[in-house]
Amino acid sequence: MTRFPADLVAVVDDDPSVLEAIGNLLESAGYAVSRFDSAEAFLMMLHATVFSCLISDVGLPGMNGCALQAEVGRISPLLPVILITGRDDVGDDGVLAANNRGLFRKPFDGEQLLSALAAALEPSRPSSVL
Amino acid sequence: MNQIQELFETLPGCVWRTLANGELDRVNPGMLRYLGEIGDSLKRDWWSCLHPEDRPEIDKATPSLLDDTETTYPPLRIRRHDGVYRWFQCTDRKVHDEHGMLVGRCGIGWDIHDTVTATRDLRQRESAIRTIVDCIPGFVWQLGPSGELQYLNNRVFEYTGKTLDGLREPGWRDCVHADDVESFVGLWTRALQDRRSVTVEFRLRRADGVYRWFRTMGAPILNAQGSIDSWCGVDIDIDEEKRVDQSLRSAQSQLARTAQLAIAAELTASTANAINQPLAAVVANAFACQRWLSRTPPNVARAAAILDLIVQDSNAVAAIVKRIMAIIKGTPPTNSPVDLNGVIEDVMRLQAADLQEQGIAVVRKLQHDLPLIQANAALLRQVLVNLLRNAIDALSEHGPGPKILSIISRREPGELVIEVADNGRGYLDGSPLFEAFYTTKNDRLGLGLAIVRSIVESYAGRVWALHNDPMGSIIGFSLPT
Repeated sequence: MTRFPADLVAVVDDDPSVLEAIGNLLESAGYAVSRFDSAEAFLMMLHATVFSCLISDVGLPGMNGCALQAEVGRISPLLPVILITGRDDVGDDGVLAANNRGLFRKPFDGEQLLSALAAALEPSRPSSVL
Repeated sequence: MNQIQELFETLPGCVWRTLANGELDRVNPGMLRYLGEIGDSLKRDWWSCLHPEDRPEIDKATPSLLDDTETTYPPLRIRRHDGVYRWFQCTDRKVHDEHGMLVGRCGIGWDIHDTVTATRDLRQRESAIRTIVDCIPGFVWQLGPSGELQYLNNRVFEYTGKTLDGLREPGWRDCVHADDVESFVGLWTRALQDRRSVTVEFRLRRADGVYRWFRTMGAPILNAQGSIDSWCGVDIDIDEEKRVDQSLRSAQSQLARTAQLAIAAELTASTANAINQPLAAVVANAFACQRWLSRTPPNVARAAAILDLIVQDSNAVAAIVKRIMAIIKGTPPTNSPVDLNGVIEDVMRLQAADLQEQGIAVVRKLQHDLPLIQANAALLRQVLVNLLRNAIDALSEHGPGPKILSIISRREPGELVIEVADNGRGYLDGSPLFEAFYTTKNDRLGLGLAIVRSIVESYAGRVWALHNDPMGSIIGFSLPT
């Protein structure tokens, strides 16, 4: 599968081990990764950077992943969002949001996450590069 | 002649002779002393000495002149010289002369007044007692030495609508609730065998079909040789308090269960969450590792770096589990002198409703003079609750036959021993009964016996499991004194 050269994926998780691991996973699949330890930190960069996808933990201090997804939907509606959660309690509004491309529970299957990421990036491909 | 005369003169008792015409002829000195003087009018009308109420009976009993039999009359009252009537037992017979001519009748009478009045008083007292026994708000019963029905007060007949015969074996079984018959018979059989007093709670059917809870309390009556003469006791209606009790317990256990569930849910959620984080990292890293290594050429450097992270995160999981276990165990408990039998009774009370519901008969063999032991009563209670629940579970799928749970406490050199025995399904040799999460049931965590072992061993005691004979298990533990 060819990789669009500007594929930069943002990963948001307040747990450093998980943040590191997801980053490692994405890099091993050939993506460039930007790591953020909070929703606020990501939002500060959102204006200055073009991200292809956002993968965010739900249980974040301050603004949580669902709220972040909603905020991203407002500011940058074309940015696809994948949510990851450690707890069972994620309301329907998480997956029903227009910009959501998946909800994964920890510990998640790496293969499935990569597939969801690839699927999330598909519609943004220019039709000449497939 | 003189001797006979002397005999006649000195006889205690009354002797008389009447003539053929019915007149009183002569009496002995004893009778004379009793009647006072005997004038002519009395001789003719001695009938007047008899109490008017007794005359009809005596008249009926008096034989005809031609009757030769010796007649004993029903007790009658004869008036004493001072007007007081006393009871007499009289017998008389015909007297003939040497030619066979009827001379009259002669008779003898004994003063039985004291006996009669004593008997009458006795009867009155018996009647009074019978009234009391019939009016007591409870059932009074008496059984023979082997348990056969001998007496029931009227309350029983009123309540059950049956007669004494109707309640003898096997009729009484109709009246005891089907679920209670087994434990009823079980406890009674043991009481008869051990010759101890017995307390049984059971449901008895009223004449209108409604079942109510009763408590029977019975005790053996021993005769002079020390063997059992009979059993006697009383049944009290405890239906009200039983229902209140049951709803209270049900509310309590629901509360406890809800609290436990809430705590367990919270614990589970926190634990799951805390563990899922590093696990997610491990899984993602491992996957990344695989991908780095599956490239051509494999990127070993990055894979190695990631393996370090995997080790770190795995250690983090272990640390979290350790912290959680420390939280569960809580702060170290305080010890104080504890009466082990008292703790057992507390727990039996708590579990009584469940035991009753499951129809489990409980046998206590608690040694009476156990020394107090330095321990935490709440922890020991937990141990006993867990042992009891284990036995109750083992008996839950018991087939036909009585379910029996025994609790034994005894002193051994240097330690106190407690055993809980059941005649349930038993266990397979080699089963790790005391290991955490070992269970044969789907809805249990399997921590009960593990907790028992943990607590007992924290007091430097031992736990063990033995097979019960002919079936079931004996789980025991010891605590050093």
